[in-house]
Amino acid sequence: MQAFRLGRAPLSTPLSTWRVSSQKPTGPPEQSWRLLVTRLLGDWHWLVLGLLMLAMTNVLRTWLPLAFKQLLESLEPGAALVYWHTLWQDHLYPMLGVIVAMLLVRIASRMLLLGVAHRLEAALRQQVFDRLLCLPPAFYDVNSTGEVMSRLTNDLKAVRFMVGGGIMLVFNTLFAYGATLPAMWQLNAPLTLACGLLYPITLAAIALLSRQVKASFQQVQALLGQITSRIQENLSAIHVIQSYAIEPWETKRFSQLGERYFQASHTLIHSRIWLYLLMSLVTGLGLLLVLWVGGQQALAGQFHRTDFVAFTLYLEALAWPTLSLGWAVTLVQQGRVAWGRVTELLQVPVPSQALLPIETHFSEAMLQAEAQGVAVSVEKLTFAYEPTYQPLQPESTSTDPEQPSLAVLKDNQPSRLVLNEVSFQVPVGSLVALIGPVGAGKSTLLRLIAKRYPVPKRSIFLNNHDLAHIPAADVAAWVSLMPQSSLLFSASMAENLRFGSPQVDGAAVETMADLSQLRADIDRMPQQLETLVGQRGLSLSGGQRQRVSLARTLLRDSPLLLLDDPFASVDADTERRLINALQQWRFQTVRPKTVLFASHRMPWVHLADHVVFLSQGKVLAQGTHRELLGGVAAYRAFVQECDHSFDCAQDEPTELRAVADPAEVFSE
Amino acid sequence: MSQAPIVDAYEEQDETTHPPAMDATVQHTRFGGWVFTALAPWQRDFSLLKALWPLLMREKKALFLSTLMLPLLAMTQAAQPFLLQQAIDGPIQRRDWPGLLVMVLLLLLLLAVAHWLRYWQMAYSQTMGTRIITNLRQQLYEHLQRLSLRFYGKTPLGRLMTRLTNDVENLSEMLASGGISILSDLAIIVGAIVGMWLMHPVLATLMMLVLVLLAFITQFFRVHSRRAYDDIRHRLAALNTYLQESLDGLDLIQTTHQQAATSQRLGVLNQQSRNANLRSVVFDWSYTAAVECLTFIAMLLTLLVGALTLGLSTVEQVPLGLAQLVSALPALTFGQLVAFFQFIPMLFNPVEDLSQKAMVIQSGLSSFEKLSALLETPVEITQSPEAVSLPPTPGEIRFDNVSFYYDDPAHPVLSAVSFSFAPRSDAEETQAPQGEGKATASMGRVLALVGPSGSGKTTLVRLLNRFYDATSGQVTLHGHDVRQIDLASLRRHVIVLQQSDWLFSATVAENIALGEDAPDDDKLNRAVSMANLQPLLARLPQGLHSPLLEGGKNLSNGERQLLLLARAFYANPPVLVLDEATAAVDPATERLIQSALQRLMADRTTIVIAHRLSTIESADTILFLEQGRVMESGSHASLMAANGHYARYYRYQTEEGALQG
Repeated sequence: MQAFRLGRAPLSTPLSTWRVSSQKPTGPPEQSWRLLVTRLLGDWHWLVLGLLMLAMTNVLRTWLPLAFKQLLESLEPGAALVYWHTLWQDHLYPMLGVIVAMLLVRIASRMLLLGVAHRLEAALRQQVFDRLLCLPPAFYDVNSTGEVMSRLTNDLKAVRFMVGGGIMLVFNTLFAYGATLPAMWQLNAPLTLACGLLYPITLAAIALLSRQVKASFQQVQALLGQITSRIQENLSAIHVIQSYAIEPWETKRFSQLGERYFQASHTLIHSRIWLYLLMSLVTGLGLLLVLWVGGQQALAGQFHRTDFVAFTLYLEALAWPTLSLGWAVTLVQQGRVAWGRVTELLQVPVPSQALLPIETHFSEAMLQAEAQGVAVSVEKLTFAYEPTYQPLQPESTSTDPEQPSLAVLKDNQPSRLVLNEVSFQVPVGSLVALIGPVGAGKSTLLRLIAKRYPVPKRSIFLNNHDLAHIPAADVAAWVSLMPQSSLLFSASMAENLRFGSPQVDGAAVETMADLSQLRADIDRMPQQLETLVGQRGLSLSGGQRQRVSLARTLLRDSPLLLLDDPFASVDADTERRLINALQQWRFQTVRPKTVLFASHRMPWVHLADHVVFLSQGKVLAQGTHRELLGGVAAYRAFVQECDHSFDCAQDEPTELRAVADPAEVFSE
Repeated sequence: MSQAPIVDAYEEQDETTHPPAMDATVQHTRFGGWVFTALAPWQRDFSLLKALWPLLMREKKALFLSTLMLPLLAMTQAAQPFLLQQAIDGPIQRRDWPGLLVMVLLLLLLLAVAHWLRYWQMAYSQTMGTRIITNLRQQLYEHLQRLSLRFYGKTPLGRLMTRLTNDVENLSEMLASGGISILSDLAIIVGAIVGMWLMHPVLATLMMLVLVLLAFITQFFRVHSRRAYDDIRHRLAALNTYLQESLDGLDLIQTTHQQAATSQRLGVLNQQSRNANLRSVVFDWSYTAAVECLTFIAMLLTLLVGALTLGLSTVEQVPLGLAQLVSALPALTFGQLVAFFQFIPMLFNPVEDLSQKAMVIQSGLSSFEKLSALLETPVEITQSPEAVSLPPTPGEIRFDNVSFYYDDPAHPVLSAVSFSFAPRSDAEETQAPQGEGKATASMGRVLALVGPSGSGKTTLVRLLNRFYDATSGQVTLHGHDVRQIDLASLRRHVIVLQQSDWLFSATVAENIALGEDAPDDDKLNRAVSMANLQPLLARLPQGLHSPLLEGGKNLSNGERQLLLLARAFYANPPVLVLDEATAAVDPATERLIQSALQRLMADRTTIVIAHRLSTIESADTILFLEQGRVMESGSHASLMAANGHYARYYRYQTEEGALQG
């Protein structure tokens, strides 16, 4: 397997602790800017070339008004006679040449500079994504993927705009001033001075105003976020709303929010307009100065009328750079905020092990386990979910006091012990069942054995190696966990089946598809194994998805299988066939397979070599199914409860998902 | 994994289509072809603009004022070069100092007026845009409240969210940066043209020719850049979908150790998206640069005409035809030359602006198309004008030959369901003709709906509170057809309690007293104590006024259940529908829930979609459903004695457990 690179930026230095330091990052610290600069300097040759060309277009543009003036001067009454063809040679051809050159150089400069920005965006996205891939589940327990996604998409885009649009515009403005003002000075110093004075004054006003624009922009964005979550909540709860007939109340609440949004937008609109007007006023006042100062000079005979042509053209050349400065300022400000949010992701500490180049070690012990199988020993395992990660700062915290703080409420809840002194043994090649009501800690136990959370020392052993010391990457090679929810990717069936074991051949895929009772389903699909399953595999039924997930897990051929409620969405008939096939497979494989499964469905339990009966994180009893039925009243009651409710493992209807479907959102 | 099929899969999701008219009209005669090509998209746009009209008309004043200002604005813009020309050709030429002062003051006045107008024009039009968006969003929201579960069953929530966020946003952008400002661009173009014509008609004509050339170039780039943007959109959709899916499936990626492969695939998608972006950059900036180039060409032309008419005497060997032509032209004054240099950008910049806005407008209009389709979704559950209100007491529930199907009559969810259920027992005889899908239930307080999943239990209840309307037959409550009952009154009369019911991101009190801004404290406290909710309130820092997170994320499962019970106590409906699924709570909480439930069911009619054997056995009447038909009804004892479907089902369920035990 290829080494997994985390980017070369200084930020990816390993942090040895899991726990996030208590100080929250407020805004982008200096260090993070260094990252951006480093990234940009990596592309320095394109950057420099692009800036040079940008400077060149501005110089060429400055030359044109002068050329116009000279042409006009050469035709003034009283000037020497010129020939038609020399007129072309001396004036018109060079001008045309410069115009075309300007066109080409400008295109090239934009391409180079925006290319740098696009490359930067892609590289940053890769870097952030690579880090996200390394973050443990504990991080995602406190952070919604929506929040993370918005940083990966919207914020990175804002960073690109800052670098591509913002910086380019700023430099363009600098170059335009740098090229034009000296030329103007040479032509007429007093007039240039008068015009030049306008700019600092205006720029100061712009700086003041743009701060206001930024503040109200953030407020509008925060309200927009609230509106979105209100809509989302309303649509998720439409059933309750209609059932309690509170539609009027809901629409009233919504209109109040809408009104607040309108007011905030109103403020934003007005301050934006002021910004725009100020900048367009500069050009207008420039014209006024040319007429006033230049006019007076002309009256005194110091200002030639051809100078009017040159000067008005120069002012015209400065108009767009000045106007665009306001836009650039906005882009840079939005980019700064966005960059802060992006770097917050980059600063989330990654467990030290995950940061190493992820390569499986294939140590001696590993190879042995491959051949001889894995035994699991759980000894006095006690576990509570510790809040190792803090939620990312939501966009709206600073501007929205009404949002209840998660932290306040969370603090009142002591972290509950999910597992309490759990001990049991799983010999090599055995089938062990974890039984217990929902919330007993079965899933947590399985996830701990797969090392999805930090494992307490000396409590779980795989072949007598303390799991706490086994690198996560090695665990991934030893252990296959089939999670409760079966997630499919929008790819072909075959790709979904092979996910996790890309090296297996087609025959193995077919075999596992058969074993998982997928044959009939696959045959009915238009392109069999090459059929594309839609978004999240929603075109398949829950049972089909679960069987794909099972086949995928089995295909990995690891010595230890952890199956979390593997038949929850499968009907009874298929369940029986699946169990038969699984039992057969287990005894036929060359290498011994140790299987640990959680379930509250009975048919497979009585085949288990050992049953661990859990409730509220404690082992109530363990032994064979028969022993427990005979000796443990609570177990008997639980089994009966399970079987007696008519819909114990009823297929839950696919829950309406509140999150916007990504393809929907992004494709439009 | 190979890449190509996945990208295709994402692209399939894309529902946005461009008007097929584009391709169709290319087939037209070559001569007029491009005219059709240019106009075809606008026809659709025009009809959409008509649909937008009512929304605009709600903002008559702002619309009127901001449109009225446009010609004035154009005039003040076009007057500036005019003034410059007058000054140069007049006072400056004549060395007339007071004249120059007048001109300067006039220009100052003009600038002030222009900016004043600009300010109000922008303020009016942009405020109007925001107002329209706020109203539209509210209108959509209100409409969505009235749509039935049938609609919500068919429409993915993601799509609705996209409508209300992205599409509204697109439209908003169209109104803010497109909309009126397009008119203002057009007004300035017209202003510049008129100004040029007044000054020098021949040169103005020449400039118009350049403008036509620019129009052609614009059209060319527009077609290509749209293609490039479509490509970007697809690539970005693929990229973002991949990001989202990877984050959703991160657990799987990590446990199967696919981080490296996942990262590499992102690299590929990343690169594709980047390349698509870079391709469009070429088009975009080529166009911008081309406009700049053309501006200078136009200036050069002006200069040439000016030079020749001004300085004809100093140029030798001008080609004869040209010399004659130029001598026939009215001479261009110096002031006019300067003024034309001002006019030219005024003419060309808006065109560039328009071409950029065309894209915003296109996307805004296509969003609006989807939004108006949503707004036009018919409201299925309507209220009759002479609807009655229900008394706050339980009444007789009667189903008469009720059938229901979703889309396909061949697959009915309920067929010919008939039964009645009265609140007070007057000891009526049970008559249950077996197996005919017809039954008369005895009276009682608890009605249990029993049957395998998919037998229509939930649907039956939803016909009672009109989440759906029966496709045939009649549902009556208190002797009124439910369709003749005031909808709000009906819904408050029959409340459905599900353990998955939503908790709002509001305070605990607001969640209990749903829909009341000033809830009655006594009532609240009674609901809290009846629902055994005190332990939760003791835990929360602000008691009843503690905020809950969306979906009640900061509550435990049991606490959520109790809170939902308190909500039902507060609402105090005469008919309570209970969807009884086994909840994942600890035994102590389970006991709290059970005792609260007992109290809740005490003095009203309760319909239970029953899962627990204990509930079923103690129900007054059991309706046994299978495949949408009432197979049997009666008490547990009588049904067991009848030894029919129910008895078999019951025995099967209990025996299976015993067998395995």
